[in-house]
Amino acid sequence: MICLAAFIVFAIFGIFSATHRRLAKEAFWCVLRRVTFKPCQASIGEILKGKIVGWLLRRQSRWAGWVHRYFEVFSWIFVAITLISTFYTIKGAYYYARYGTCNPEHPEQCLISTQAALEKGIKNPYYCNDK
Amino acid sequence: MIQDIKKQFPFLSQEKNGQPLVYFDNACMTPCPLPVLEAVDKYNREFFSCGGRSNTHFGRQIDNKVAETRELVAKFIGAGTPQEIIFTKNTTEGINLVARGLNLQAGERVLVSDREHNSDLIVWQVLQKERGIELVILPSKSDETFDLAGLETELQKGIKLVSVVYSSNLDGYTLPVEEIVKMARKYDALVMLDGAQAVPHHAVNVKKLGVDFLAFSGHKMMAPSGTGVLYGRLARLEKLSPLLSGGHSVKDSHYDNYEAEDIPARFEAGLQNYGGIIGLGEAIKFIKQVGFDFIVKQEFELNYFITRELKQIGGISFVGADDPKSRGGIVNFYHEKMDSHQLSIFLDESANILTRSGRHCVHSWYNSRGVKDSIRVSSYFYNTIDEAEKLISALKKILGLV
Repeated sequence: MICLAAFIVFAIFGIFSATHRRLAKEAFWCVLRRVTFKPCQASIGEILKGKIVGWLLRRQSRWAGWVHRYFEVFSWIFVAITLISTFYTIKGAYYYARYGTCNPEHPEQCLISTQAALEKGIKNPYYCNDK
Repeated sequence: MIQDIKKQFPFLSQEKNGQPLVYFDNACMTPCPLPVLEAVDKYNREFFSCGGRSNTHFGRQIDNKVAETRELVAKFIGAGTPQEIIFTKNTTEGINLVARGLNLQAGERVLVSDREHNSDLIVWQVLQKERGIELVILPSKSDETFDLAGLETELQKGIKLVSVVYSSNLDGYTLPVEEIVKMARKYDALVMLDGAQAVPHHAVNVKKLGVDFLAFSGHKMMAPSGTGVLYGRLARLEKLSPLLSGGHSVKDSHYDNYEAEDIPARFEAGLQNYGGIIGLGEAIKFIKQVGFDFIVKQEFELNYFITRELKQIGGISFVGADDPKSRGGIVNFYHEKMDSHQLSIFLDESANILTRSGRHCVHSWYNSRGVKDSIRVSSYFYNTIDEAEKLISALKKILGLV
């Protein structure tokens, strides 16, 4: 299921780069084929797996075997991490757009809080500020 | 000698991750040596002009170069005259030119083998639908060799054209073409050979063979991509209709009629790939310098070595004929536990070894035998036993993952 992770990653990069848009499209078709159980030529999933395992074969062939055998498991873990981090990134971006900080409860913990947000000490947006 | 030859190929001197390139996809395309690259570059820099049309000194220079290449090709394959040489962009175009140009009628029978590249299968299926011709697929014998007795049986029933691969891109097997042509002659059938995997690898003489048509590609014999040749016996070409019509294929034209050019120009409509044609001429000179004796010997040694080593790896099945002697430079196989595409990618990424995976445009063969796909190792004279050893070592490492 590395195609799904690849699709998310390439789709985001594809906003800025034409090369990644093409890869995102390939990854999308790969996902579609996977979910409809159709065979592929060499899908982007196989290519990514080839690159990762190939790299390991050159350096740590012991690990290459593990990664090759459990690639699907690693892929799902990576997809989960990607989805979760994408969710939090979008959430952070939303809060920043709305409140000037990615973490309204603790704006000082956010790397990109605006000065105004820091001074205001914005609390949880679902409760009224005690002012 | 091989190292000196390899230095002539800039493409082959590349490295990835500190590993030298090992190129085993020669049945698809072969890299161009320096003389070819320099000739094409010289054309592009110094006399890039309109051949066959412009009455400038550059135009005439191109015409001379094209004529020179045509003559080289004619001598290379033993044609009677350069007129019998038509430049195409690949083998597929050459075969299509004959298929469409013969004006086959409904009910006329065309025979092909069961190991044809799609270029020599699909066009006949299309004509089956369009014109109602009958397509006869001759199955191989159980040992995957050509069935001459079966051919005779079909010829007795009436065959207009026998169109078969000379050497198969599937497994490198070379058909008994002399016997095929002799038999076809006996029954007045025309013969066309797909020579894409034959002409670059061993001497071919169309006059001695007595074949009516032979198509092959330049990019499988170190010429630039987009080059090819169709040889046709002059008497046959005179009856063939052109596939394309247009500029330079006519001597004169009016609004209601035209006068066709002489052969071969009438089959070469439009501006040609002049750089490619010039490169093809240089590629032929290069092959002559290397010599077919060396090419055949080197390919056999590589094939024998790779086959022998692969037989020692468990789980490997070979595609096509088993004997390396009959397979030229091609070894095609698959593994019971690893997908061929994945194997090919692993070879590329872990060891910078390039092969081809899939069905090699012979889908029909794979479908008929229930084989999913395979990995093809195709060598040429510049490959070495060292590279073959690297391939085997990498395969063993990769297959150790399953």
